[in-house]
Amino acid sequence: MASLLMICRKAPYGTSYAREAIDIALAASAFDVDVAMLFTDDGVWQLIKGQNTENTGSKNVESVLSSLPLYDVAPILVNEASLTERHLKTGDLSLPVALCQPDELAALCAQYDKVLTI
Amino acid sequence: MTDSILHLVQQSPTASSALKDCLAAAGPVDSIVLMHDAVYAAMEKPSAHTCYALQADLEERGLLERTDSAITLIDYKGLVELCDQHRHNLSWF
Repeated sequence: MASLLMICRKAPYGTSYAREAIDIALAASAFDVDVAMLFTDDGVWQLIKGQNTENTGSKNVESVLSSLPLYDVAPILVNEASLTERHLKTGDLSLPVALCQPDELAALCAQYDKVLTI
Repeated sequence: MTDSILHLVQQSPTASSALKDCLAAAGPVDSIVLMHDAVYAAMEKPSAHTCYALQADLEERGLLERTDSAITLIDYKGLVELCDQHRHNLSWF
């Protein structure tokens, strides 16, 4: 089975990058690709708890991300340094995640057939 | 109306230099509005300037409870009033 690592670097809502990355991950998974996601830099904001889009008309990124485990997207990785820089902890996040370190990126990419950065 | 400037900062402080560039250019009596992805800077008041943040953008991003209490929350009506009270509005994006 082909494998794909999606690296998500963009905050949600300001642009459509975050939503499009999630759409790619879900679509790839539906086609039997073994998908993992790494949230790093401003991408970690996608995972923060308590997003409320009732008054803005945007699709709630927190809700969409909550479906990732149902689509067997795993592991969901988070760069711990990106969390620390933003004064966030894993308890602030809406999903259980695995932490990784910036110096593990190369080894991580090497484990996958394809890597996409958005 | 005052001669001070209202600075509208729109980009994430960790993905863009918009906030840093704005703060380097802003005068001491100027005011800052954090909006769109710039509301990620509202967790810790970024400077001594009078600082506002758009509540709708904070809510959407799950930041309302995490906002520094030294920052004044505004809605779109409040934004229009601020724009009206300042002689110039500068956008940073």
